[in-house]
Amino acid sequence: MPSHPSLPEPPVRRALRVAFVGEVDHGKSSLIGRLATAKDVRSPLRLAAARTTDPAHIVDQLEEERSDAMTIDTTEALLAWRGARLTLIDAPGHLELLKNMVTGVSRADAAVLVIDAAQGIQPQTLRHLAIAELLGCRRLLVAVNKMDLTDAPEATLAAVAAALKPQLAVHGFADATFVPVSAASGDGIESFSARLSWCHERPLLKALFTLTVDEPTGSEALRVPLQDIYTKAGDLWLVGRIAQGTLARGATVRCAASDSLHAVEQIVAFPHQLPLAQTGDCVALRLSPAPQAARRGDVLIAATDTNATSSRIDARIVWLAASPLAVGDVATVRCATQTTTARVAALTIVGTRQGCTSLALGELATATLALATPLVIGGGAASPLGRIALAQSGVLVAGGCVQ
Amino acid sequence: MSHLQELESRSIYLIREMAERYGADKVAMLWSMGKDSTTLLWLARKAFLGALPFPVVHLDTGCKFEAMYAYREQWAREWGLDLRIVRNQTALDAGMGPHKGKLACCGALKTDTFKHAITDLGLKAVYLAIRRDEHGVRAKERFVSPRAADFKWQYQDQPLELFDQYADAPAEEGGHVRVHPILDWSELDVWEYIRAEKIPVIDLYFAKDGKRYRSIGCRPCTSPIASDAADLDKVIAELQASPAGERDGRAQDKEDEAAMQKLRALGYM
Repeated sequence: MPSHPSLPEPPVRRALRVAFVGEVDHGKSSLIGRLATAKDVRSPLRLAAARTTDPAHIVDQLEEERSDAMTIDTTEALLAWRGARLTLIDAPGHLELLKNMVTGVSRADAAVLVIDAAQGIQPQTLRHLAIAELLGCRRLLVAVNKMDLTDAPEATLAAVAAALKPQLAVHGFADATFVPVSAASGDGIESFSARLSWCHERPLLKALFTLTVDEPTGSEALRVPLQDIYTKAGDLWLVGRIAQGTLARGATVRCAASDSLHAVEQIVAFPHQLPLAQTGDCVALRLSPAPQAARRGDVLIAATDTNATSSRIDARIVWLAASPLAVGDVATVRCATQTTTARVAALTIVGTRQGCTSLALGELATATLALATPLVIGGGAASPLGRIALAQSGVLVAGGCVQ
Repeated sequence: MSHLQELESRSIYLIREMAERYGADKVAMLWSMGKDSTTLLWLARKAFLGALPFPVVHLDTGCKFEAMYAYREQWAREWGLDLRIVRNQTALDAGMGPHKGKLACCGALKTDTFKHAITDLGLKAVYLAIRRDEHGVRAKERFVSPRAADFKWQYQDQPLELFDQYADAPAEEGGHVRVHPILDWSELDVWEYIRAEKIPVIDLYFAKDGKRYRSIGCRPCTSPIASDAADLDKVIAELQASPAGERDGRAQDKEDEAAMQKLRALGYM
């Protein structure tokens, strides 16, 4: 086998994914429509733009979305601008459609919180802000929209900012910038008109394309949750993705479930042999001695890592099913490829020590979960093993993270 | 991690997930010999260390380009594929064709054929190479989309998809999931990956006499675009310079703006 992967270097950086969140009708889809059709932006949405005058319809392409003037489901569009790429994720604002919003935001690196300048903070504004943090958005921008409708744009933006800043700080976005925009007129997208010339922030398009998030350094504790075991010519191949850390050929790893030690003989990203696998790489591993009992859901960790599993966890979750979750309920926890049964031992309102007995659709809480089998779990929403989903009767009902 | 590496890795992860979830005897991949499904096939070969553990299905309408059939035979042999060619012979014998209306024709020769393949092969999961950037309605798809036996896409009530956790196939007979591993690739990504990986593609994609196919399907319903892009580098340069979507050359989308939604709602790929 050749020893070098064939994908070219220097590469185009991975495209960041940015979700647009906020209250119903504050302009999320319209802003994406504007951004996707801005000057010099290449995007597949341009075709739709040629057939409509409503910027929201560029994104909302289901007939029902157009006739009812509301986004039903999340969608994504890849934009290219001046050699850089960015994926924008639209999300519906209605509480009843929260599962669709969560579907979109769970893939995002960053979020744009859209607020109607006249309406200010609304219930979904705050819920979406909390969910963006919960699901691992690491940066946030605030787009104060409909600035064409206000007589005193600067004062209006200042009022929205003053009201929102304490909430942003609670969710770890104290450094968020505020960009005044109008999806209706296009002001603040590529540049600011005289009405908004007092704003010293970057216009939204530029602000988005210059966003950066911290990427894994590779020095995090090794975590390789196994997906499957393949047998080829009598050899066992353990396949999985490096969730975090770095794996070198020749290293010794620990199989967390059996607590056994194994040497890494081969790392294959077919058809290549790798000396080193990094965060995000999908690999097949041949270990010595071959772990005959290995199965999906086992996690390979560093040999020196001797206390990696937990059987009781505090998970911050958002509840997404119509019928509420109660203390004492049982659910399946899914974390990367690991699954186990869990009982809800306690529910606590986030940021307090105040307990609650149940959670309704769209509510957030810290759930203390007693796990039937210990899992390698934690690391927060930015880490694949810090991200969990709960399922009941095979249906996903909650998402969240474990520190 | 580069853009292409990330896309490749995420796709391989999903391909492996669904084969593990349902078992190799309950999954299959649709292959139309176009650049997208060939890219998907390439990713699956990587996922399974060179040899696919499940069948590859071609929905043959009988009116594909000659070059596609030749390519199918050549690479099925080369890659050792378990190729299943399926056709709706009853509809073909009854004279089905685009002259009966494109919705009816796609429905009979592709969607119905696909339905039969799911039942005949006993499938619970099928991999398809659709991409969000092909159409605004396809952009609303999930990576894993559950379908009941009636095939209908419940686009008004799609399931939650969270991190790498997906909805299950309906337990009923004929219930399955559509798996879309390259959903978030763009047309440009596909071409850049083909170039990086040296994936063989059909010549129809490259310009001859000022025309090339940007998308290939059935002969009567696919038309070439004006282009001088006669090789891979030129195709990539053309796309980088073009703001337009790709399915410009496909009749079923042009006919009616909502045609894709109607087709997809009924279970079209």
